[in-house]
Amino acid sequence: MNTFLLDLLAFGAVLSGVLVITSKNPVISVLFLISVFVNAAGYLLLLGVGFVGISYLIVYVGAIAILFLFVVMMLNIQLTEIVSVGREYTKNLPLGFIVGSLFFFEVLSVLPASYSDAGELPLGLFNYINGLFLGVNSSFTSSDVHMTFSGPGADDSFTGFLQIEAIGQGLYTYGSLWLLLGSIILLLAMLGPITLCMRSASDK
Amino acid sequence: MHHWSTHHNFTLIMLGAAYNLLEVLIVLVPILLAVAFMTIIERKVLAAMQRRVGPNKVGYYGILQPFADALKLVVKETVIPAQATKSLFFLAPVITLIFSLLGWGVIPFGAGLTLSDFSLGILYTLAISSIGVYGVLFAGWSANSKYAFLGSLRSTAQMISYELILSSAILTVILLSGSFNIISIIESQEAIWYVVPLLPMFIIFFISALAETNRTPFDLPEAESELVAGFFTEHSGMIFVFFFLGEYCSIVLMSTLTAILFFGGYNMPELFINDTFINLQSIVLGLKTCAFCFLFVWFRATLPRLRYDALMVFCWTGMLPLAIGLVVLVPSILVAFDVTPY
Repeated sequence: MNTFLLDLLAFGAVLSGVLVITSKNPVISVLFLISVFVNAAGYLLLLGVGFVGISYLIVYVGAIAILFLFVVMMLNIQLTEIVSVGREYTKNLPLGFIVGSLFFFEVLSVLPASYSDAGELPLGLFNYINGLFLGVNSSFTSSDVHMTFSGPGADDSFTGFLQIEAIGQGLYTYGSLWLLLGSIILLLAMLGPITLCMRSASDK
Repeated sequence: MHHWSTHHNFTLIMLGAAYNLLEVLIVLVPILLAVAFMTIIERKVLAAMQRRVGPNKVGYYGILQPFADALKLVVKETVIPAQATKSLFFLAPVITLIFSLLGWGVIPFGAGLTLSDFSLGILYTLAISSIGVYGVLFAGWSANSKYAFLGSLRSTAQMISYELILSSAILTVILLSGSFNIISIIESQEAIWYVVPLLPMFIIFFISALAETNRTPFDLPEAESELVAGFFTEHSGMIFVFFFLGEYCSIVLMSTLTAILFFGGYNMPELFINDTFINLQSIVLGLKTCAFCFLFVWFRATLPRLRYDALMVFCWTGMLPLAIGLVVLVPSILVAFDVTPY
């Protein structure tokens, strides 16, 4: 029964993903995008990773998709305009295919084939520095990182923890440097628009 | 034998489903009744505060007025604008009502008396309330009318802005109790209600709860003089009832959440804890909820409506820095005195 529901949700996510790019009306497009997020969140919840699923709902559906929808609704674009612009863009389809496959290749080369026997990966340097900060020798390898973030592995090694506690444990120990790096990137992303939008004193 | 066992299994599954359905109905029917009586509370209290009599014809003291109102709305004709996007036009009120009802799934009405004792209960409540915003957004857009559209844009902007403050207020409660589970949050208030150590946060929470439910003084979406009726201008008859129910349901839900997060939920000193069949703890929660429902109406009778820009400036430059400051201060105190609950 459960696997049937999982298949249904996965199929729903893929189907809505296709409908996002095929539907003509941009507002309907965003609606299908929301449907993708909701399906993915339901999939994660049924898999047992409740915290990630609920964060999906809060972050993507509750904040990001609403902002998308807001902007798309406010723009009030005419349908004919979109169709004509869309024809121009289809000329660049081969270029998009090349860039997309490059990205795909990169992701495939970074991710291990299976998390159980993840060998030495390009993540080594960061883990080494992270170990220095924590006062631990470079004894832990990238497989420790993957162990933390792969679902069943985390549950096995942190028995007795709630899932959210397991994520916290991994994030603040093995992933502390990654956490800092991520937060600095987010801070820069926040400061960028603010500086761009700020008017200098001479403008007033 | 084999045939018998599959048949038996099927019966068990059906029984389980019937049991679940019954469980959900036991929660839903009283909630809908409470929502109906919330409307009569509002009309009666407003009338008393404005020195009028209020509804007093249907039933004793007008107590059955909400049912008369509901009957009137149901038999009214549903007018659908020709230019509307039909699917979303019908979907929007359904989303509003369903998602304000779904929030009750994790609310405990007594020790262990809950539909789901979810370990991330409070996060679930936040997620559900943030999805509810879509009902407002869809309603305004699908009606294809500028009044409804402007009302929905105002309402959505207001709701997503004040949701930040609501979440940070809830975050401080989570920091004090060290759990996302609503029952653990209630149990951790046995020593003292969180309204005492977190009084400023409680005030911030209640203000943002008023804004989240689009109530006075933040009822800009319903600014009658400018926008007719806001996002549901074009909705009539049965689908309007859905919006109406959803709105009052979220008021009752917000009042219950306030009682749970800051006033100890179903807990009350020894007096009400007993082993009898009638669980008085639920009545305690009900009384606390009623007090906050009254507060919602009291605010409506007292305060004038804010101007829209003042409302947004108040949120982003007044309340948000204060809320973030408290979110930093509370865990700092916990760490400084080494009293973290985990």
